[in-house]
Amino acid sequence: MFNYTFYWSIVWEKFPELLQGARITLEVTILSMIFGTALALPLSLWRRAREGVGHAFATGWVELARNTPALFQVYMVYFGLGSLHIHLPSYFAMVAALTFNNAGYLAETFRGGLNSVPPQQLSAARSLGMSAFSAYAYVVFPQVFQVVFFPYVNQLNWALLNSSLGMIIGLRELTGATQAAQSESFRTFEFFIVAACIYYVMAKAIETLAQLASWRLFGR
Amino acid sequence: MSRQSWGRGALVSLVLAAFAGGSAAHAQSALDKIVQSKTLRCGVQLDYPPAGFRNQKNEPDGYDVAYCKDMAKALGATAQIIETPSSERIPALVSNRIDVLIASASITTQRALTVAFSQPYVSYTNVVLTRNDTGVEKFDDMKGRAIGGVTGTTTEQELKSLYGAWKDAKGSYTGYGSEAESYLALTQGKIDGIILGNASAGALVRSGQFPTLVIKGEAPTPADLCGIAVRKDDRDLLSWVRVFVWSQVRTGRYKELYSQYFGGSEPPSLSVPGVDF
Repeated sequence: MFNYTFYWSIVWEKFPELLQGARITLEVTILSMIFGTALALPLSLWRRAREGVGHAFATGWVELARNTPALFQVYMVYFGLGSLHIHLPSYFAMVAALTFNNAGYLAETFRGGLNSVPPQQLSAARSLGMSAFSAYAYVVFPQVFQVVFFPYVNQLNWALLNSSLGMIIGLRELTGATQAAQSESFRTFEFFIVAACIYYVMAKAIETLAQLASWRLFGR
Repeated sequence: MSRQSWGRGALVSLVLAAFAGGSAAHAQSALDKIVQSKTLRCGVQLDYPPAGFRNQKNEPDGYDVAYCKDMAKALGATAQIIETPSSERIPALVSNRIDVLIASASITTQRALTVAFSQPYVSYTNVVLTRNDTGVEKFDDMKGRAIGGVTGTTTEQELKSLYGAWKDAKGSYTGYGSEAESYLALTQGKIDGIILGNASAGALVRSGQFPTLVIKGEAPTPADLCGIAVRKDDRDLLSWVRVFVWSQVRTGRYKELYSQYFGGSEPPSLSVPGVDF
């Protein structure tokens, strides 16, 4: 056992900065989930189509997003686009990279959910005179959401933790703020412990809210 | 706080003494252990050339590495170089994976609450690094521009306070995860300037990997004096390290190592005029 005295007062001094970082972490996570979901819906439909440009595009997206490290994706959006003279600020680059990652995973989650809805439901909706869009929006996807609800919350947690990669491209989210604070004072243990607790609280809060939403929406 | 921790400390020592019994009346000090085991474990940052890097044979090399080897020799031990990236320096020291930290750690009062520092063993000055197409000629030309640095470094803290004094609405500051990202961001034009130690800047420009980067004058920051860190309790080791640092300068070895790795014929002073360390 090592001989170390914890100095918590230094952490409380810096606590507002950590909370400011946590706020950016949450913002990036939520924005990237909203955009990721919006992109994953058409991607999942294209993935189900057997052929065509849409299918090839969606497959390429899913393959890249799921089979390369998130760190690589973050680097590509920030420095990869930078080498083409497209300069995104750290914040937008991080939202874009996480959106790309989320959309890839969610497309597959939704595809699984779509497979669980009997195809006759779509035919029935269309034969009642609904457009393809309304049929998906009012008949198919509401059922898909119920099936994929918990994998979806998983992805939300995953995005929350992945957002910590923003630190390397200059985004002062929770991990960036922690890194700065620990390097100034060398109180590495204290700051990393507190950061881990804040991540845990945020993840737990997301889980609890999801559980409440699930009861409210699906009655279970 | 102090009274409480004294109390707890006393309690812990009582319990420890009870367990240790009479056999080990004197616990082995860190210095004794190094001398007896003939191994000196040094934590060095190997992503910070020319102070610490891997040479073409993929062996650790650099000023800090050479300093560690000298230290081991003086102790009659072999040097064991343990790579400690910036944020792992203190955990490595506290969890006893290394004996001394020779990793260009700037001495600050805040950090000295956590570790014990020797007197300065190397000194850097900060210079302005920019691209050859930015038109930045001196430090003040960076006003109104996007500038950057490495998160949590002392250089960043000094740059940010100077930047704050400009009260500059047009400019921006971005702190990156490590040196590598800040160089890349500068090369790509995401930022127009960074300040960094003269030694790293020189090594960077000489490496030829970044042909567009140029050094433009010094930054108005105080000399960045770095110390060797040991655990706060290892007082015997600290006093030996202090003698060693003194001896390196006295024997001319400091000058020799400095010109070998950083260039120049006259190494910078390791003291602040008018005050002892």
